Amino acid sequence: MMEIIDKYWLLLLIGQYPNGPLGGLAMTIIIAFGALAASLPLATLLALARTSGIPWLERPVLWLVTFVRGLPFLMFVFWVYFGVPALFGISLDGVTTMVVALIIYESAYISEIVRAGIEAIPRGQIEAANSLGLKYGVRTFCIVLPQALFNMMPSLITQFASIVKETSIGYIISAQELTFAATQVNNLEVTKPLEIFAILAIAYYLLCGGVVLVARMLERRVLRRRRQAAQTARPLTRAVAA
Amino acid sequence: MIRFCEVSKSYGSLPALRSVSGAVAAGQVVVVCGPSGASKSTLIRTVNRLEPIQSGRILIDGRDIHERSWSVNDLRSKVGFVFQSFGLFQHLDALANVALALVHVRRMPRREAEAAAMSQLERLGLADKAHHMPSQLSGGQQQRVAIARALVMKPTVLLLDEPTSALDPEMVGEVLHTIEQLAGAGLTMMCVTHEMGFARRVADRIWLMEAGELKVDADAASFFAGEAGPRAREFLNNQ
Repeated sequence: MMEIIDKYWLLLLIGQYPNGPLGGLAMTIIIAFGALAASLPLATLLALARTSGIPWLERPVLWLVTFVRGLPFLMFVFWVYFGVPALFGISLDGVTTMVVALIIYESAYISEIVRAGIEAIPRGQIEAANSLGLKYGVRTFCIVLPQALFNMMPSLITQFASIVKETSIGYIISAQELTFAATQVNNLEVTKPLEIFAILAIAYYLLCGGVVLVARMLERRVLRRRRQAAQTARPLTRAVAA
Repeated sequence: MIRFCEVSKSYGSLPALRSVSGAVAAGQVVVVCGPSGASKSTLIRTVNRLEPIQSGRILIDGRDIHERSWSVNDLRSKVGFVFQSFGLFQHLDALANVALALVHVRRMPRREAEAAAMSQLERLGLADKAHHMPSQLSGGQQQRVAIARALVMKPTVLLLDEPTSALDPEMVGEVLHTIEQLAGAGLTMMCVTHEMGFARRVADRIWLMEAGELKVDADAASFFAGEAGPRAREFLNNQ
């Protein structure tokens, strides 16, 4: 196994780059984080539409989310890969297809997590915000979402780890990510599939573990900030009290 | 002053308020009491439009609260509301809770808003708790922060919905003392409570509600002297 790593580590890490397109683990990270960065705000908008209480906004989003969640991800990738060129006359490469498919697919899933988080906020918090005269935008972005996003962090972490793993489907449509690089190595070596795919499994495990670790650190940091003790009084307190 | 004119409200087919009429003069403290389910909370929640009404009018200083030109957010910024369950924002410390509406509703610069919030907390004896999160405060302290949050907006009216009923007995005193101070300062208040001892100390008038109707509207002295009719006497005897 070490021999394979020693021989192909660069290919597994960055693909053919700089002599060819960027690939391997680097591309997996780019696809996963690109999809994650775009799908979270999109999912939040979908969830806000679902919880808006406005039927003409709620219903189309409900239909969209139900439709997307009802499809297997692989079939969804095929739809984007073959459907977009057929419908719009533009051809997408594997990486773009994966990013687009992941953004749409994960937005639907994450929107349900965000919706649950929003609906779990006690009614008293909304009423208190209303009673102060706070407008919808302030109420949503200063009161509801900060609490909802914190409460749903465990579910989001799981979903983010699942995005990382879903990038491996890109291999089917020749997106040059980690699984694609491992398959290239397997084609070169032929006789060592067990070792090669064990390395691939370990790489995904470490990557997902890293995502979970960073997210948990973030969660703990937010919690620590919220539990900040009174002893750490800020200068303003002293200035006003003086 | 607040005036209720034939106010009615129902939840679906279930009537909650039945043609309630009455007035709260400026600087007066009206304690709303009555058995559970009498729609006491519903009544005060209609004043800042947390509960819509089906018919009648509610006027504050002669102006109908449902007037089109009076936005609901503007109305609410002038009518303070204190909830039974405090309603503090759990992710913000006490100071941020109190300063929030000043920044976002009154458009005050943040430093100025925090300074105003701090002096309000000081007035209620909570300066040392300014950077505590709600979960780090006792129930009584949380309710006083909630009162500070309502007061910092300089409301013309303060509505209190059972402000002590979620508190341990030893916490009740500190909140009641704060409300007594406000009553002494001449703030117009409507307070729903079951604490008749407290009502005796602060109320100018007592409203006794029953099944969505205002059964008794009497000045506090005659109510507690048993001169406000048989229903008031019966209610007092059951306390």
